[in-house]
Amino acid sequence: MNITTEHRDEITIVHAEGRLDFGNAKSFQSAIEPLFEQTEGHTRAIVVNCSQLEYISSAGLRVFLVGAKLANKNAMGFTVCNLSPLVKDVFDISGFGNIMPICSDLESALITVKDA
Amino acid sequence: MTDAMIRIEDLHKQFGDLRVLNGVDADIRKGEVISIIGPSGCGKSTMLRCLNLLEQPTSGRIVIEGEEITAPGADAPRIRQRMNMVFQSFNLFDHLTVLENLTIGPLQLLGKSESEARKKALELLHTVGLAERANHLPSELSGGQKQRVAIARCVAMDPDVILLDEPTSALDPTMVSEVLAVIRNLARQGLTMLMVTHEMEFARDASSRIFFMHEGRIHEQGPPDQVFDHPQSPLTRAFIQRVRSHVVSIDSPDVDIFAIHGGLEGFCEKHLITRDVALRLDLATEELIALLLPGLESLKQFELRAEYSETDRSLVLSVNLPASFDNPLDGTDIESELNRQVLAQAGGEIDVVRRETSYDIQVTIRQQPSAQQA
Repeated sequence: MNITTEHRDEITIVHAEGRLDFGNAKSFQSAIEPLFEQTEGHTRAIVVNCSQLEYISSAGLRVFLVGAKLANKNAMGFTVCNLSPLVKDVFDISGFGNIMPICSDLESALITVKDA
Repeated sequence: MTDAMIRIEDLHKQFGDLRVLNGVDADIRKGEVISIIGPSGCGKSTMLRCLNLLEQPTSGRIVIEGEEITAPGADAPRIRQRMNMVFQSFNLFDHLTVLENLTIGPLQLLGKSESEARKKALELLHTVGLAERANHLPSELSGGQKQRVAIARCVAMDPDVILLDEPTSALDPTMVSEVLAVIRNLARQGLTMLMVTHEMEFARDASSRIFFMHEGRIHEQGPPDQVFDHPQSPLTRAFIQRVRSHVVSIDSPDVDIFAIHGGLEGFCEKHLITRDVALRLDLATEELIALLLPGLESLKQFELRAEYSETDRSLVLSVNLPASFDNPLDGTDIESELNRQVLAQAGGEIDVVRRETSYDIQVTIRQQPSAQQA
């Protein structure tokens, strides 16, 4: 999978593209973990834009769980948006909607984390 | 079965090193209509050709009403009259009219009079809807009409048994139904028929019994409802339901998930499985592997099988596990709970089929997303 990041105000947007599975979940985790530790740049929140994320398995979900814990620990906002039907099904069944906000698009995600 | 009209015992046929028939056994009663189905090269046509000695069996016996036709010195021409055959490619005499094609056999081989042969031929042409074409040459007929003439010619010889070797496979699709209608009509008249066919719906409707052949043997046989709706053997089921399969073997904890996804993707593309369903298959496969990997040491290896039916378009992922292995779906540990939840999400339905020494986990892949995009 490919990951790119951009910063808007104090929010880091992670664009995830491709498949998040057993084979690359660890490298995805290694890529996003430092974002939660960032002190320079004053990141207040992280939004993962999944518009190009075609597939996620439980291995990928666990990384989001780790992200939610890190966000909570560092008092940061954390949300995901633009889920495809398959990816949303996987988030829904595992009850991730109760752990973090799931937004329909990037704009509403940015508003959600700003208001948090 | 004691009232068998035809008894086939341990029939073998070999062409050089190639074993085409590998021990065919069957009893056929008078008036039965038998459709012989099976994959290409399974010996269907060879079995039919052995019955009227167009091919000489390598070993085994064929007995018709008490007479062993495979005995040395059997009268092949007389046997062929009793077991007349309709070929895929019609085999009409092109220089004779339709009527003459029907009368030549009864005149020359059965010793019938001209008027008798002509009367019977016209009756038969009427039956197959071609009476008005009696004086035409075969070249003036369509493929479907030629095959109807070939069938009428076959019946004109008053055979005990009619053998039909893929009678519709050389025809344009528009002409298949007219030929099948003629065959269906003959079946209703109580003629004994054996037909090699790929027309599954016809075989189901018109036959009294189905032989499913595989690798030179009758692998399964029974009434059409049983063979088509409740096949006993996985091989029969795979053929009837046109099941295509893809196997993922795991024998090491270093799972190459990239290669597995690639293999599944190729399988799904080949069978025109939609992208959404293909991704769900991927997901179910990955979660099932994750659930089974902790047990790999005791299992040594396991195989996941994706099976797609081209008839009902169902897609099932299954794994066969020894009965002594704890069902990972029954686990209560938090660590694997997420795998179970996601597996349940990918599969619309999960069944566990228990057998004597093993059990199958069968995940039927959901065909529709359960939620709309957020």
